[in-house]
Amino acid sequence: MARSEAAAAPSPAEAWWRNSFMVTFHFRCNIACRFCMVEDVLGVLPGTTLDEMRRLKDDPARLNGASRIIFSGGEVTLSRDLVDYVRLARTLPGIAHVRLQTNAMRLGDPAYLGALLDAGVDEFFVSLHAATAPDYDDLVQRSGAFASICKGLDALAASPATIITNTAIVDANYRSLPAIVELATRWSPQSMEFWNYWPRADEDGARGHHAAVGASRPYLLAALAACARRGVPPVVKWYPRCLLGPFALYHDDGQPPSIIDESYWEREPGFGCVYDGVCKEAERACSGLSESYVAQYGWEERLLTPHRPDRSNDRSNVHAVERSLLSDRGPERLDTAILAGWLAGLGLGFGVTIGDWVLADGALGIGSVALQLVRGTEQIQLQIRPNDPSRPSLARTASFDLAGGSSGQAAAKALAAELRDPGGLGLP
Amino acid sequence: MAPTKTERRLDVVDKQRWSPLALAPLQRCAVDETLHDYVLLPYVPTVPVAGKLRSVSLLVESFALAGLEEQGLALLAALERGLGRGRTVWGIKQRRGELLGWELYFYDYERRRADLSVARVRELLRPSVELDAVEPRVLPWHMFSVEVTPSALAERGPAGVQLYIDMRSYALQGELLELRNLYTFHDPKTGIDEVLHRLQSSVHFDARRHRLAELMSPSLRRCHRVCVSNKRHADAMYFSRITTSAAAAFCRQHGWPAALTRFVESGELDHLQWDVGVDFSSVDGALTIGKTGIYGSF
Repeated sequence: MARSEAAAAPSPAEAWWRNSFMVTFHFRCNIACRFCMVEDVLGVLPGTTLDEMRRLKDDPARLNGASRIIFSGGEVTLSRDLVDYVRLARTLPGIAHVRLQTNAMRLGDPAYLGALLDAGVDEFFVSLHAATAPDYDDLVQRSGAFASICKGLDALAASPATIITNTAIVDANYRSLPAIVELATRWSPQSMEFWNYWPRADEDGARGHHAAVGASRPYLLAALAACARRGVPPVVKWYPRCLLGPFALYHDDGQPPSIIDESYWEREPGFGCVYDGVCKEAERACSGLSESYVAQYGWEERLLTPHRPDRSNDRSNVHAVERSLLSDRGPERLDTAILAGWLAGLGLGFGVTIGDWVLADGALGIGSVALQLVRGTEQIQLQIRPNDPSRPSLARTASFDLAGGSSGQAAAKALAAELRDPGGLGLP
Repeated sequence: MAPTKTERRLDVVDKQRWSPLALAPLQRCAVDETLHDYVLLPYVPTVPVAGKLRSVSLLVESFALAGLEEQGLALLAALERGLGRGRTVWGIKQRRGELLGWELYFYDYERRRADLSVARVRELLRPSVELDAVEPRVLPWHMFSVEVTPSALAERGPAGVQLYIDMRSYALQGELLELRNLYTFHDPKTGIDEVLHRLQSSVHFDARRHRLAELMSPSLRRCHRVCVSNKRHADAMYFSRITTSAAAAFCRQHGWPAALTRFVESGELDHLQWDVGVDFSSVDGALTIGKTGIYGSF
């Protein structure tokens, strides 16, 4: 997209997840998307019951101030109780919108759609994963699915309800992203969302649905540009923000709180970016890549461009290895090792107790060894020097004089008594 | 349906039935056990460890796998008697399922412990292996290691010694010192530029063809520190304080002997953290994994 197109682009869509609360139920579906994120729990998870949802009325704090209830499954339009759920949602405090996440296949039935609208649904978040019938039907493994979905969207477009489309970005469809935008325009969606493949229960990327971001990026950018030209704000989720160029403002990984069986989270995909320790977007906005993606395509370390806080993308923080040839304390270690070996020969060592003193530290000097002894908060220094009867000392052994301030007299005598000194010894 | 994003991820590990190879009872942690990583720095376990298996159990199992349990236990006992507990780091090395041997690491960062020296360890290990290494003078090492092959352990054969001085290591043969490896340590997140710099300047890593993920999986990136090493015939990456499930994934990825992999997967070691390393080189243009290692302490 040219820079001028970006400048004329619509403002980002409402971050709907901020004021929404999702209720999940009816984990069954009438299509079988190859990339389905709940494939393993369809027919397994019990879903939220009406009774459980009624408890939200008794404990509205759980809604966290939400003004929108979103129903999702599975395909909730297959539930005979959906209208009851919607009516109940409308009775919850503060709820102004009720949204369905749906494939829209049942919405071409005017009576059914009318019942949903009458019950209070005013927003439809419709999955739209391909631009042609052959592609769609193959992707969802159901012949005739595309025709039904288009019929449902036609009906929605003729209704007062709001339409938001959602397109998964997967290996099978990324080349069609611009065409999907062209197709969707006829239903005048309020916004179009593009969610990078959410690899729940695909920890190793073995299902093969990830679209390599290097390959999908040009198509995604073209689709976003097409949205911008039509004044339809797009939303992109779980795609590296740094790859979106002028469309980064449409990146939003947020999701609402939800009621869902705890077991769902056991196979939640992990996300991260190899640059998340140096990119300012990592803390506030960008989830990076899924670990499943990394298993299939790697970290994309050469493609991603972290937004460093100093705005310099110049690897300016390459400076601080935790060790260096020049900062090594090797010389000090060497002195300490020599001193420790010498002390060991005298029956001493760092940390040993001498009377009520502890030998805490020491240093090699010129013609002497300095020892530091501590007792509580009290510290004294003693020097050990070769015997020289002509000089004053606090104490003497066969080979050494112990010198220091007069306050060290007792400690020096205790130290002299501890030294194993048969005579004839020297300093290290 | 879209879930709320969280940071949580459970590594999926099959906890298979496991029974030890070792005949001797495996050691269990004391109430006040301090756990150490492979640079002998203490780490805080996430659960109480009293009564749970010590990490050295994996080392003992590897001795048993090699048919050298008795000899291995004798070596460990000699070191524990001579140095005490919490003084020694161990490593198990393997390549594509073949157990290559073990390495023992002895740390004294401040060099204040006169009871630790090459000469002392040579004496402690004399009943098990022969160390032909003599420091020509006191050298400023902060660590030295002893590399023990299965044949050396079986026949009281020669074991190599390396001295580590900050970022460098030297082989010590007799009194001869030969430069071996260079090491740098990095934070896996804030230090990623340095890690990439080290790899991209490696003669064994072609940044245009090879992927960092082949060496550093997401579960390894959640480590405490990354170390990058340049060696004579390969380069290497090391990852400290990874979870047991990450260690199990590492074992599976690199074809560790099934008996050891099953032990790591068993759930018996989930209270511990591990350190792992992988040697890599470029062979016919492909990033090729050579020796891999797992480390613990006793």
